[in-house]
Amino acid sequence: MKHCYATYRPFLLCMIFLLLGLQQLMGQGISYRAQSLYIYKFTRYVSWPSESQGDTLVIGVFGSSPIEDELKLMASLKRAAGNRPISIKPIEGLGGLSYHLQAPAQPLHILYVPSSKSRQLTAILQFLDQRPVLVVAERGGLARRGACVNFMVTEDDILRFEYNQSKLGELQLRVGEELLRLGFKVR
Amino acid sequence: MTFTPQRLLIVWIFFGMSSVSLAQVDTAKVKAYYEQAADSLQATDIAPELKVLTQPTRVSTGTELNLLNTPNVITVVTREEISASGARDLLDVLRLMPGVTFAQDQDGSIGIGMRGNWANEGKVLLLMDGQELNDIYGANLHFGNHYPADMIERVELIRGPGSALYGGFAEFGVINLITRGPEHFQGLTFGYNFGQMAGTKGIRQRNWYFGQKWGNSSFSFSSYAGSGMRSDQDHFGFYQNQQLDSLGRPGRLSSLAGNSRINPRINQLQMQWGNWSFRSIVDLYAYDDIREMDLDGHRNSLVKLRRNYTELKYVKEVNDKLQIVPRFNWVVQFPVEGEDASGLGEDDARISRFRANVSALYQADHRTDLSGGVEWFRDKAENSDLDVRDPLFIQEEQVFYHNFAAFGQAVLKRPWANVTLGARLDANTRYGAAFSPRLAATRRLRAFHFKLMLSRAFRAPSVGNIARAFDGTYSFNEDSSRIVGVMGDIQAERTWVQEAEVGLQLGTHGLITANFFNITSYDPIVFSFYSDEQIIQQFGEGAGLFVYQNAARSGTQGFELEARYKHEKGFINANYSYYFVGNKDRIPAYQVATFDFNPALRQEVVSSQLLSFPSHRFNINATYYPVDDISFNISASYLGKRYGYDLALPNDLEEFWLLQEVNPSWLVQTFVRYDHLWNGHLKLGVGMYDILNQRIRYYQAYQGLNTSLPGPSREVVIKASWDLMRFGTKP
Repeated sequence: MKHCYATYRPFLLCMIFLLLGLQQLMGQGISYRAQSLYIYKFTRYVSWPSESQGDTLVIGVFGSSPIEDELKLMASLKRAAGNRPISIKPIEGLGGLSYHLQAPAQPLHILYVPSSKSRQLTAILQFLDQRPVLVVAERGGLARRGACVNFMVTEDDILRFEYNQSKLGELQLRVGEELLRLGFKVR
Repeated sequence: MTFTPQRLLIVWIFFGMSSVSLAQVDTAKVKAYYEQAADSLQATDIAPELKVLTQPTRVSTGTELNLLNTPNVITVVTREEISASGARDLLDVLRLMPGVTFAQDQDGSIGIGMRGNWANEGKVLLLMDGQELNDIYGANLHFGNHYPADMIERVELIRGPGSALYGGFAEFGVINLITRGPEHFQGLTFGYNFGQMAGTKGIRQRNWYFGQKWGNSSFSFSSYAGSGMRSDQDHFGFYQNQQLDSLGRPGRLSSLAGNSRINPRINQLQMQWGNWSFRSIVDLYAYDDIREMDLDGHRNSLVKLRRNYTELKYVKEVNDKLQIVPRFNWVVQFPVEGEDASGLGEDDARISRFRANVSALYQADHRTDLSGGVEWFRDKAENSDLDVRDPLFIQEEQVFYHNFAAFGQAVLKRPWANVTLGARLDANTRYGAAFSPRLAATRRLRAFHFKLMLSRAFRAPSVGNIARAFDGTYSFNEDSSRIVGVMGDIQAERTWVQEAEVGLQLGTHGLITANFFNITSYDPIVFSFYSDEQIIQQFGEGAGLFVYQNAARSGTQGFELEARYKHEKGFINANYSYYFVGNKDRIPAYQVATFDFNPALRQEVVSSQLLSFPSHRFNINATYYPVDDISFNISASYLGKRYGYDLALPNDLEEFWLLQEVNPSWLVQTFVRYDHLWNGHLKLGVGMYDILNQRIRYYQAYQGLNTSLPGPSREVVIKASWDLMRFGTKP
């Protein structure tokens, strides 16, 4: 067995590094810049209740996602409605979310839930407890399950979103018609 | 140098770092990006060059689906790729696609095989702008200087069943040709292509096209005509019957130079006024039947196929969710018109199909497409004078077959997967009912995509199949000089196909896919030569009948790999196909076996392959643009080891049929093109085909008693096209 491993070790190592190389070559498949642009549009066309306006518009990214770098780039170049600066906050798990929600100085306005954290959506919504936070889910179909908005890709590879009108109403989030016409109402 | 993990890690880090260092942010560009509207943002990071290949298509379901979401295995080739490769006709385009191999049919014409299966007899549907081009009589297709490449804007090849949508000619695949029309180019163009082989002329193609749009109306007319030779090599032809007795042997080798004409002419007219559209296609294709010749070696039988296709269509948008499309098609074909030796005139036989179809598409919401419809068509075959001859073998002056079909489909675009559920039910007055259901699930997950597909398809017996059906029953006439009373019945062939595909986007410019397939056909309709001991005793060796029969079962399984890389500086398409027969049943006419006139006496030699089709196929097509207007292309097509029947000629006095093992071969082409010469109006290209001068031979995929057909030798081709007028669009 040991002899066998020694014989094939170069081949096995080559295969491992080839697979790693393939991973490096692999495309993302997703344009996070396009998602980031939509989130920027949300900062312009969504109105939050006056008590949670704040001086800075805060976007939280739940867990790690490649969009975080893109959002930071966007935040460095653009401003939200009312000429407010945009701040990007990485939020590590439910603990991080709880910690952030207890800091009233900078209320959370948008929470981005990447695909990898979709299973935690129900827990996230419980933690948010009807706070006026626009929950933007990366994975399709989550607006039906309580997110305010989820992204979806059309057949011609155009990024669109689905929105949950009743949830937006419950949270007193008002979205401009100019933006809503690009989305699909699911509830 | 030894491979140590440390050394490989250093290499890995080097490449990793170099890719990171390339990632520079152009702030001005990013700022401009965030200024744009959000209504047409590309959701994926696929580069525009590659996106052309994945854009939505209707060929798979009738509704628009991204190519990566379609419930079929599909390969798309664009006009740019076709032009850069210097392809002469559809055969050149398809040859470079996975799963496709060409073989010889009757009369020395060329037919198509799909995934190791002979598929030319109505098992692959050829669509040109929605018109079904298969011959109605035999359901055949004819390749070789047919469907010139200049007319093609895009080819979508489904390698798998399409019966749930298209019915009985789409059992193994669908070739969807989208030709140049006003939506692609508005203006007037002329083109001429000139080819020369070592021993005879190659292709000569001339074409012109005019197209224009006015608001929601449009008009286009195009004409593609030409001539050419199938080959300039020696081929064993048989002497015409009346000369056979005096010579003592059935034929001899003689050159096909000047003796193997392949002359196409296709005229297309398309008009649209608002929701109405009209299309007419006239397809004239003539080729020499190379099997028979006179004492001087001249082939005198020119087979002329004349086909007219007409469609009238209306698109009714009832509201923003419902669309209803009635359409009427009228197809007239003259399947047996010949010249010289055949003596058949254009009025001797005629076959037509009238079709009425109403389909509806209802988009219930942005994630649900429902479609369905009904169809009726009538096939009518006519002999002009049954007392004189019966070229269609229908034994009556006229026969009619009616076909009724209902079809429905749901495409459910759920977040977890796209699910397609569909079925089509055909009821035919001649062969009964055929049910073709399909179920598929597809999913795109970041850079990956997955497809799982299960379909049942069928192959409808055509008028010619029914006319020449044979169940093994026959008798002799009174003086035993002829076989008469050939009896038979034929059923629809049914096929189950299971397929799976996985794909991966590499970077932003590359895409690789792999698919696995398992095809099992029940009651396959097989055309072959039939003989038995009684016939041989009565008439001698070589006597028999060409008949259609339902065999028991057949099929193949295998996989196909495809890699495509498209960049503004060029593209590379590479694919590999593999099939094997495995433990599936074999059909005597298709199996690789020793030769015997009586199929029952043949002994299988190779169990993994079928006649004429190599297990291994590899294609590569690469183009480089040193500057925008100049392209260099090289393409190569590899055929693995094949088997086929041919006449062995050990000396001048004897010949005998033999199973031949054909060595692997490469067909290599190159083409250089210069666009936008002479104020941007002229395109010039020059290329060489079969650079290695392999002269690939085509064998029959069934026991049909045709000797091998040599392909053309090395051919030099010059292609030129001139845009005389251009209205608004760039060519």
